[in-house]
Amino acid sequence: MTDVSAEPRVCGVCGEVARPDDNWCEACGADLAPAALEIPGDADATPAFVATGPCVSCGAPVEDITDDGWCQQCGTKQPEPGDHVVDDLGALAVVCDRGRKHGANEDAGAIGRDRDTVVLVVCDGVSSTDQSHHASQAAASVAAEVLLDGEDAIGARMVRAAAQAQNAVVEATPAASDQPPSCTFVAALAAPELDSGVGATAITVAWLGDSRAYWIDDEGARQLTRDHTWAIEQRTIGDLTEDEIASDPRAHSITRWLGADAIDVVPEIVTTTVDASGLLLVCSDGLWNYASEPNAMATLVAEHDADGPTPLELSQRLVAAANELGGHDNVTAAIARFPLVEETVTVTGSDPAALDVDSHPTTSEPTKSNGS
Amino acid sequence: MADFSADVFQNEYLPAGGDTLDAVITVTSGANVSAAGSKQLVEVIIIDVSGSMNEDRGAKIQAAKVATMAAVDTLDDGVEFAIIAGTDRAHQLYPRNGLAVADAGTRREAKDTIQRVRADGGTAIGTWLQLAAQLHRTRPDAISHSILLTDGKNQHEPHHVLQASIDACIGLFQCDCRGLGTDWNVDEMRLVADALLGTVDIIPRPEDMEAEFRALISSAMKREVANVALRLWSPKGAQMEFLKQVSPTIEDMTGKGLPVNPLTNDYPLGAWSPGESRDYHLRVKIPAGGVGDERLGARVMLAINDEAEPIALVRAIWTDDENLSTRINREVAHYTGQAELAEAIHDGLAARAGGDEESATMKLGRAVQIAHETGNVASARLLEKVVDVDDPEAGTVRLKRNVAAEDEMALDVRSTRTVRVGKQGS
Repeated sequence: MTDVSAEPRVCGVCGEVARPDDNWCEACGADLAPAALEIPGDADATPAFVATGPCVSCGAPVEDITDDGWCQQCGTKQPEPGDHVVDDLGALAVVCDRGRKHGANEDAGAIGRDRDTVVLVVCDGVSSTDQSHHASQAAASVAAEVLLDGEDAIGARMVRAAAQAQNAVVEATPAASDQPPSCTFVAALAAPELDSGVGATAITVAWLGDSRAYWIDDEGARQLTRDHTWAIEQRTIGDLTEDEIASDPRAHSITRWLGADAIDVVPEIVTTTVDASGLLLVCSDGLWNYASEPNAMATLVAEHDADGPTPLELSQRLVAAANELGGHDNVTAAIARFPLVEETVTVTGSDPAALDVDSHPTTSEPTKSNGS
Repeated sequence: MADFSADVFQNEYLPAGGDTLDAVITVTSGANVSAAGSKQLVEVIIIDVSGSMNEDRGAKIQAAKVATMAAVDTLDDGVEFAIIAGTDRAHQLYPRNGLAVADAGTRREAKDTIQRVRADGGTAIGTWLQLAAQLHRTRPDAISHSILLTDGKNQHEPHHVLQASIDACIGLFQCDCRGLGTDWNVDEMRLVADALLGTVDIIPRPEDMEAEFRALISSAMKREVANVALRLWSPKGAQMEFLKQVSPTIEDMTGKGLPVNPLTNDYPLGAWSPGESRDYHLRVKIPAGGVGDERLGARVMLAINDEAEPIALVRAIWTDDENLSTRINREVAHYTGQAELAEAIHDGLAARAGGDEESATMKLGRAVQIAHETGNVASARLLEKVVDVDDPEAGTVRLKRNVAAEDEMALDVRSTRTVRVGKQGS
């Protein structure tokens, strides 16, 4: 990780680049400390909206987007930076979107790759609680980092990842919060399974709550997770009839989550071995609500996968499909396609680590980037 | 850029397929509005000296002289001014030509000239306005104001000449119109005042004229920034259903937009004083978005001499939550009511004049009801001089048999005065 203090500084008077330890500008002699640290403008002012592309609605060119984020042609509000977050590592990608109905994006996704090991994490912030978007972001990022860096057995690492994600959520909790932030958690780690023959992949999935993982191949879709919801747990217990369960207001409530008020954050873990080619999909309920049964999900994915899109394109299409169907919730789709394509040097997002070539001289170093 | 701010009152939530946005925009000027430019006031006073001013044994012309002299006395040193005497043509009374700069000497000369005026001849208001326009045109950056006093109808020129003269004055100066007595025509004076961003009122008795003139000059001298415009941007495909000033009075501005670019129009607001506050009601139709979409229906800017500054946003968010989309904003509802009140008074008086008593009773009854509901005490009092009110809540009224002409005219000219939200019962 880049040390922020080692960032090059620029003289506020003459613009000369100064060395990190310099107190005075070599070129003009100005005092560097205050000038270099000065933040122009009012720190409390809303930062100007920086348009990155044409209008999302009418396609008007980027020049027509005002610095408060509206299209000057059709008037459409352009998405906020956190409203639509994309991360692309080639063989895997994540797209996280606000959807159509919620005012904020409380979903978060993180993906990472180290040689032939890939990690996909999705956290869905519970929208009735304070600061859920911070909680879900922190949780997903921390978990992906733990999973990629760890040397320990994968199951133990998953437990550790959930525990550290839990710590991150608790840290993001405002003091004296009546509704502490909380989120779901699902993490998938896929690595070559050498014992089961060439090309086989072992997938380990750990989760808390109702975000899901699917394996999708020529034979259809397999849901790897089992939702931690009141309805599913009642069905397992078997004391109530299906009607009683379905009509209960608690039916869709999640029974396990990350958050200061969580009772137990040891995730449920499953491991499966899959053959050479297929898709690993990790998603929030904003997507699977429109294709709840594995068959429906297989159909939805097949509809958008026919022309062999990249994982990024496919994720974008699935998120767009969820929005077309109503976009009732935040939507996150993280997808890895197997066999993994060759790793390319990908600079994604604004993560300074990705640009810091010196500290990661080879591409075989872990690349981790989070989708939020 | 000058010191203006705005508040927007609206329900931004629209149902699926909804395309009509209503917003009330309160524009307030700060203490430093003059920062943008010149504070020079040019005041041209136009006095009717037609033969009818000799009525009441010369009381009218005498009062007009006293009032005009008082107006001259009220002018601060440095104000540029002129006085026009109007008959069937326009005579420049003071100075002989061009504009005078107010000081002790010019004020005295002006008053001496006014003293010697005799009333004689007809009424051709268009010619008076043309001369005023000539004078104002020489000071394009000034705060240009006129007072127009008449006691009669525009009898000595065709209507189209008046109309053309008014059109030629638009944007050159603002004009407050005052009618003395009851022989003048409210609609004629309103035509002038609407086009020239001024007010209309009746001065029933000659002796009230002096105070009225002093007040008009004082308020003109408070103005510190000229040529202010409300600049409205709306998206492609949008249609401005209406734009009205709704406080302090109702003035329809819909047709007054001057295109800046295909999506933007300037609506002239005239000159402003520091610490003034005016309300505008905007209704715009925009292409409907999908549920969850958020769009701008209008961007409200304030433009002075082509420098514009955004002051407010009118937004649209489409939702399928009926609790949100069916709400009616309080300010929008209030001013919709005030506009209905003004219309009911206008229509009621027109029906009464046309002999349709049934319709007049119904309209004026409705007016009484709204005035009562919204606490528009001034309108309620004026209405009581025209109708006997049996039940203000139900709007049950009877037309009075004998109504003084001045009461009817006062109700007519003042029907557009509104009250603000929250002033109920005061």
